[in-house]
Amino acid sequence: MLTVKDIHKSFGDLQVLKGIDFTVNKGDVIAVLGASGSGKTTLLRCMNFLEKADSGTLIFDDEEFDLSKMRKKDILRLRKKTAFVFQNYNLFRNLTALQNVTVGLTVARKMDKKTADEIGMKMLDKVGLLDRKDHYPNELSGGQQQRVAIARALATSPEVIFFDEPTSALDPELIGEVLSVMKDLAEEGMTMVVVTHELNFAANVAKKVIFMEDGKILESNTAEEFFKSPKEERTREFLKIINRE
Amino acid sequence: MAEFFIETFKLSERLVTIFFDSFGKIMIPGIKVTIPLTIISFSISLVIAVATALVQYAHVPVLRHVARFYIWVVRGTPLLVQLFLIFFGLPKLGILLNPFPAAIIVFSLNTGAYDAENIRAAIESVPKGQLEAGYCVGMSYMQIFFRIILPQALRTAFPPLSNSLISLVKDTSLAANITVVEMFMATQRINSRVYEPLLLYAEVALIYLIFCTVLTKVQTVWERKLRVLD
Ligand SMILES: Nc1ncnc2c1ncn2[C@@H]1O[C@H](COP(=O)(O)OP(=O)(O)OP(=O)(O)O)[C@@H](O)[C@H]1O
Ligand SMILES: [Mg+2]
Repeated sequence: MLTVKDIHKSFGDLQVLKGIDFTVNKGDVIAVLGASGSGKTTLLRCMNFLEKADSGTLIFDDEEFDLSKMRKKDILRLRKKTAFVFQNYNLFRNLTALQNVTVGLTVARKMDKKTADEIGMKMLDKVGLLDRKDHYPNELSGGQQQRVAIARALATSPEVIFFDEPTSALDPELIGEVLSVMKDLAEEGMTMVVVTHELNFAANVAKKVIFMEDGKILESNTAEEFFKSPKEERTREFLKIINRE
Repeated sequence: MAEFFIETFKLSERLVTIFFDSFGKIMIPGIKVTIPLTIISFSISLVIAVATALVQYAHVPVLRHVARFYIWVVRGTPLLVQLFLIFFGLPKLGILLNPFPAAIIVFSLNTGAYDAENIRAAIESVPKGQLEAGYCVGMSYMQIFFRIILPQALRTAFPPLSNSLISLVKDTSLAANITVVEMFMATQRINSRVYEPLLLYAEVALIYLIFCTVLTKVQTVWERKLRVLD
């Protein structure tokens, strides 16, 4: 469904992505692991055009694009097929929870308000926050905000959702509620690419694991194989360190 | 001694009569001219300010330089000079404006330049993540600007914008210089008949003070309401 080939990206002199290839198939749940600064966020952002890659190819539903020269029109069109969940939620602060979920439908997709509200309420119900639909983001806890952000991502029925460390900004006691929503999605067959430091989530929910190191994919395997018998020395070290934490 | 008291009493009686007679005569141009002049100019200034802030924020080529130039010129020259330039100067180029529209143009452009800077600062204080999240739900730049960023910015800019509205109420008195019959001009006219400058100018000052006090109260109430949403 979605393939990226040979993505390169530098910030000034700093090479952050040094040729990344991988494919997301429908129904995949891919965990992206790697040390801080290895380029995980940058990879996700390039795939959603929040960052402009220096070179690389993206194939989405059999359409091929050169990442270094994307047209605005294509970007807008492709973004409507994907969704993004940010580490710090980024809910629209001037909109209520329900409006946050529906604005992508009413404004970006010109859906009528009634239909959009129905979808919005269904999505809020799914993340267990229907009773908070008229609250503003600042009236919600971090975990609730992130669940609204997931509902917002779901509302537009994307083909794939990118998650960038969705639980990293949360207090430990709030992480569970977000992970459990994501687990439900995975079980429903949602296609997801999840950058995470939650090894339990990666082991139990993800089907595939990608391990990034210094702007490259060092190891990529099914989740089971990855945790049972990591091939690379660096991967084993990483798992050891993070398990000790 | 008794004579002195009678004289004083007669004098103050005259002052009280003038005060009450002229109160309405000052208030009416206040309501008919000063207030509309303020409201119309301020509304137009907001539109100018948002447009000026947007072309800078969105880095629109050429226009953003025009915006900077406009702000630079307007903020660097006196309001009174701007009024004279438009009302007395432009006829030399064959552009003849009535006093009221001339005043509207100058006050809108002048206030717009100051508001533009307030709004621009407020827009820049909106976190970048709001724009990115907007992109990710499929909105275009303009949709994000008008639905997400501008509403948040206007909330931040509310206090400085209220202050500029209050300044404008007082600044409209300068329009007297280009023959707009607003409150101050009306007061001057009454004074030229009865010659009581201390009383009459204190009286018009009092009326400006009332207008501004009302606005300040409204501002406080609204600010409290907006703070609830933060
Ligand atoms: N906008 C930017 N400008 C300059 N350098 C950047 C920018 N964004 C990221 N970098 C650099 O690129 C490198 C990779 O960053 P990235 O955020 O992709 O890492 P990450 O794997 O997501 O790390 P973390 O686990 O800490 O989130 C880092 O060295 C970072 O400092
Ligand atoms: Mg990151």
